[in-house]
Amino acid sequence: MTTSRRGFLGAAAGALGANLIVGCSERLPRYLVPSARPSDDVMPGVTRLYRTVCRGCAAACGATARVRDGRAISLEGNPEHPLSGGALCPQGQASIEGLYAPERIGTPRAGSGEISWEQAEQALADGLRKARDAGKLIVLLSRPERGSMGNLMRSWLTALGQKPSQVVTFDPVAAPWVGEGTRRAFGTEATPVNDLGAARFVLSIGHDFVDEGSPVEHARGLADLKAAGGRFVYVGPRLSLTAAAADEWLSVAPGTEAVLVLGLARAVLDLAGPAVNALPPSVLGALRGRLAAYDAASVAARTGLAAEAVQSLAEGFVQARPSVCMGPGRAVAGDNAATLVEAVGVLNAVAGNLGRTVRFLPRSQEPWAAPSMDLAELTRRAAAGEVGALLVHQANPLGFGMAFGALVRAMERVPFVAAFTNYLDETARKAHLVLADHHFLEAWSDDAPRAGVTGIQQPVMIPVLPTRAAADQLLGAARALGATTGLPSGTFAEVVRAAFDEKSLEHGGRFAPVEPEPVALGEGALAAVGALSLDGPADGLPLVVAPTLRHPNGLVPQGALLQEIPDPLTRISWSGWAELHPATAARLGVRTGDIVALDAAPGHAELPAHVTPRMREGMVAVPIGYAAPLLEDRGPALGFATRVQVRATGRKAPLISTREDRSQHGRPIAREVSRSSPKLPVLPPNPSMVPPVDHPVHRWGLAIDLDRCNGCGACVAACYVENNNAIVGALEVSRGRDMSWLHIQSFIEVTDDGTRASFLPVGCQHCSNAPCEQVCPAYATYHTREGLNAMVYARCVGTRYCENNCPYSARAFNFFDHPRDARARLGLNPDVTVRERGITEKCTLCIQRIRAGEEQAKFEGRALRDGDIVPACVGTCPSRAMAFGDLKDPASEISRWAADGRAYHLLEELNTQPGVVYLARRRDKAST
Amino acid sequence: MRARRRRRPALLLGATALFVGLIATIASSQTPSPSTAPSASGSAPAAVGEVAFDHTIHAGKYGIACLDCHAYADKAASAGIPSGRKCMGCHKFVAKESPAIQKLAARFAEGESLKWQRVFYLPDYIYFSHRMHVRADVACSECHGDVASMKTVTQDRPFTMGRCLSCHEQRNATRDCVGCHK
Repeated sequence: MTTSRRGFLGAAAGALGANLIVGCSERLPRYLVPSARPSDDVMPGVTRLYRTVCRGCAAACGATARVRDGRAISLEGNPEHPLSGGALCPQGQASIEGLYAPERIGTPRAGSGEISWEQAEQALADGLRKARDAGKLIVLLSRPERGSMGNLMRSWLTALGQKPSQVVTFDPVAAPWVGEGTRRAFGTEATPVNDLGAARFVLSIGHDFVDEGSPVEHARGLADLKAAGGRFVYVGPRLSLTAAAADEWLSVAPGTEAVLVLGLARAVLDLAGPAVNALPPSVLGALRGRLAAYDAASVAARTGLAAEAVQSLAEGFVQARPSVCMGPGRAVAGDNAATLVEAVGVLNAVAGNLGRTVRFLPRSQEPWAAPSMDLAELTRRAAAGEVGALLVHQANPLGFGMAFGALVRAMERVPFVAAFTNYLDETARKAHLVLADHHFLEAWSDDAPRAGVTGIQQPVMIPVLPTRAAADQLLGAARALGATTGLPSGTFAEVVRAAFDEKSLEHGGRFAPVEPEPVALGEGALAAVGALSLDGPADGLPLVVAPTLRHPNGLVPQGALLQEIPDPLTRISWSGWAELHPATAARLGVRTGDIVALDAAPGHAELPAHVTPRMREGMVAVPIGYAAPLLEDRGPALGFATRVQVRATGRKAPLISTREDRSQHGRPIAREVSRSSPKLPVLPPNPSMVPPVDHPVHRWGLAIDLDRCNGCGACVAACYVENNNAIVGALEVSRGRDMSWLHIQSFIEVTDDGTRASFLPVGCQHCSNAPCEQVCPAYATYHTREGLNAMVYARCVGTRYCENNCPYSARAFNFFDHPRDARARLGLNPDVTVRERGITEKCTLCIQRIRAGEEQAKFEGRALRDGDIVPACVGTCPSRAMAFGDLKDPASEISRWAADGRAYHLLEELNTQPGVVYLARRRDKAST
Repeated sequence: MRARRRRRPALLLGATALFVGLIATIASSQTPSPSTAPSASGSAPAAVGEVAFDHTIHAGKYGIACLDCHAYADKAASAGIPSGRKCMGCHKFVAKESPAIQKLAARFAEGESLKWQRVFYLPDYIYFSHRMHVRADVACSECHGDVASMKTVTQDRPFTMGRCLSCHEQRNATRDCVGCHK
C-alpha cells in the first residue's frame, strides 16, 4: 500500500485532532443549572457591588465587594468611607484570598478531629456551664470589636452572670503608649487623630504611618500634603516605606528620639509664636522649667544631629502652618514611648497644631468602649486559676510565642479554651474546641474605627463552607444555659440589620463628622521628663521592629499572595530577613544572604541578612512578622525596643528576590525634579523610520505620579486578584518566574544628600512602537486601534521572543500550570482567562474592564465618559498616584497629567512611544 | 531518487505529529486545564437533559419568543436558562399531568431547577455578549439555527472564528482580536 505525503499528513493531523478532542471533552460542564427562584435584581454573569468593611486589619476601611454569580471575586475601597476614600491597601486586596483558601476550616473540631455542629454547640455550652458552676470567670479574648459585636459580647457576659468588662482586646499591633502619653499631657481620654492632608509640614518620629495603623487614609493624606507643596521629615533608625516618601530622612542615636522632640519643643517655645503666647503662664512656666535642659547644643550632642539641623527643623516646623508631629511609631517605641507621646503632644501644642491637624475625637459612649479587663489582668487571673473558660475570637496569641509568653502559659491553666477562627492556627491547635467562623465577607457586623465613622460589614455571599457566625454561637450557648436576659432573641445578623437603615447600608455605614474635644496642655505635662532614661542595656544591637503592610496583624499572613509579592524595599518574598547597615555587617563579617543568629533575652531567631544603607549603623531591623521570638513579653502590643546579639552562623540562605539591582546606573529611570523648578527638560522627538501609529478613536494610557506613589504595592496585589495571576511559590520566584504583571521597581541609592529610595510601578508600557510586537512570529501580540499592546493567548506558541525583546521586563512566561483546587477556582475572575503553561502574558490595562466600560456606554447609547473605566491598580491606589484614561481626549484627567512638566516616558531614548506616562518625583535636590 | 527524498521528511513529520498527539492526550488527561477549548466545529451530538424539552412545542407551536425564557439575552452577556419559577409560571396550569412536568414540579418544590443539557459552547477564552448581539439585531437563529423546528436542539452550524469574523466584517463590527479573545 502506498501512502502519499499529503494523505499521511492528513491522517496524522486527524489523529492529533482526535486525541486532543478526546483529551478535552471530559472537562466540559455538561449541564446548566439555573437557580430555581432567581432574585429579580441578580443576572448571571453581571457584577454586583456590595458595600462592606475590610477586616484584614484593625483599621476597618470601607470596602466594596465585586460579586459575580454569587461569589466575591475582588474587593475595592468604598469611596464614601472617610478612611478608605475608595482605596484599599495590599492586605485589603489580599483578604479575599481568605475566603477560598485551601487551609481554611469549615467544620468545628475538638481534640484532633472534626465534629458536628451539634456536638460543637453542646461542647461549648458544657464548657461554659462547668466554668459557671465552678464559680470561675468566663473571659472573651477578641480582636478589636468596636460596635455591635463588642456590645453583644458584653451583654452576653452579663447574661451569664459575669462582669461585662471581661472582654479583653487582643491587638498586638496597637500603640498602647498613645493613650497613656495623651492622658499625661492633656488629661484626656480622647483619641488624637492627625489630619495629614491639612498639614504643610509633617514630622514623623519613627511613625511608619503608611506601613501600619490606617495606611490607606495616611497614604492619601501624605500624597495630598506633598502635592500641595508641603514638607515631610522622618526621624527614625530605618528608611522604611514611610521614610522613603519623606523629603528628608534623619536618624538619631537609638533611644534619643525623645530628646530631639523635647529639644524641638524648647526651640519652638523660644521662637514664641502665637500658640506659645496663648498658653496660661503657669503651664508656660512649668514647660520652660522642664525643657530647660534641652537646648540645641545638648540635644545635638545626645542625638548626634548638628545643632543647626535641630534649629532649622524647629523653625521649619513653626513656620509651616499648620504642621504636625506624629509618633512615636513601633520602630522607636521603647520604654520612653509614653513620654515621647507627651513630648510630641507638647510640640504640637506649642506650634499651634491642636484642633487643626491634631484633633481629639471623643471616646465612644457605646458599651463596647467601656473600660475592660486588660491583657495583664487576664494573664494574672488565668495563671491564678481563676478563669474557667476562655473564648478566643479571631485572635492568635499563641502565634506570637514568647512575645505573649505569660499569657500563653496562663492559658494552659484554663480548663476550657474555645477558638472562633478561620484557620487551624497555633491557638486553635491548642484549644479544646475550635469553632469555624465565617469570613468577614460572609457575616454581618459593624466596626467603628473612630468617632463619626461606623462601617457596616455586610455579607456579600453565601458562606463557602458550612461555617457558623461566632456571635450566633455565643447566643446559642447562652440559650442552652438558660441565660438569655438582655440578649436578642434572634440572630446577630438581625441585630446588626436593625441597627442600620437601608440608606446607610447602601453607603456602607454612617459617616458624620464629629466635633473634636477642646483640649489644652495641662500643668502636669512632661512632669516625669526628668526620669527619662536613655540608656538601655549596653550589650547587643538595638532591635528595630519594622512594621510592614505584609504583616498587618503582627504575624506572617496565612495567605500566599502577600508572601509572594515582594517587599518593595528589599524585593524579598517568601522569607523574613534581618536588615543591617553595611558597616555593621562588615564588622560582623556578614553579607546579604548569610544567615545570622539573633539572640535576645526571650528567644532566638535565625534569619538571612539583608545588608542595606537604609539602616542606621549599629542596629538591626526585623520585619514584625518575624520579630516575635525576639520580643520580651512587655504587655499588650509588640514593639518595645530590645537588644539582640547578632552573629554570623556561617550558613547561607539565598534570599528569594527578584529584580534585585537597586541602582539606576546613572540612567534617568525613576526621574526627579527639583522643588524649585519642577520641570523636566523637553526632548526633541525621536526620529523614526516607521510611520506613526494611528489611533482613530481612543488611545488608552496610564499615568503614574511618582511624587504621590509610596511603593506600597496595593496595585500589584489588586492586579493579581483581578487578573487571576498565578502564585508560583518560593522556588519558582527564586528562579525569577513570578507571574506578576506589575512590579514595584525600587532603587536604593546613596547620594550626597544621604540614602534615598525611589519606587517605580512598572508594567507593560503599551508602546506604540513596541519591540515585542515586532518579534512575535505568531501575531499573538499586536497593537490595537485603541493603543493597547494586546496579547492573544490562543495564538501564543511560547517562543518568548517578546519577553526577550521587552526593554521593561514587563512580560512573564508560564513555565508551568499552577492548578487551583475547586474552592480556589470559585474566586477566579470569570472575565479573565486562566493562562496555561507555555504562553506569555502581561498587563492588559484590564482589557476586561475597558471592554465592559465601552460596552456599557454603547448599550446606554452614550459616549464614553472619563472615569467610566478604572483598571484594578488605579482603583485601589491608596495615594491616588495613578490615572487611567484616553490620551486623545484633551479634557481627560490623564491628558492633564501627561501635559504636566514632570511627565516623561520610561527609557524614552528607545523610541518605544509608550502609553504609560510617569510624573517625576519632586525632591529638594533632584538627582536624575 | 527525487521521490524518495521527498517522502522521507513527510513520513517523519507524520510520525512526529502522531507522537505529539499521543503525548498531548496523555498530558491533557493528567493535568486538567480549565482553559482548554472544546471543539467548535459544529454538529454536536444530540443530547437530552433531565426532561426531554421540546422547542417545537414552546417556540414552534405556541410561538413563545426566545427572550421570554432566555430572559437575559437582551440585558447581559449570558442569555440565561429558564429558572424553575419561570417554567412553573405556566406549568402550574399547563400540561400538569405530563410526567416531565411532574418531575419539574417535584424538583421545584424541593427548591431546585432542572438540569439542562448544554448544547452550545464557546471556548473559555472567548468573551461573548448576548446583549450586544441582540442590540445589533442579530437574530437568535443566525447562530443557534431554527430552534423552533428542532425537537432536540443540536448545534447545526459551526461556532468558529471564521464564522464570527465574516459576520463582524459584514456588519462592520469589531475585528480587533481582544474584542473577543479575553
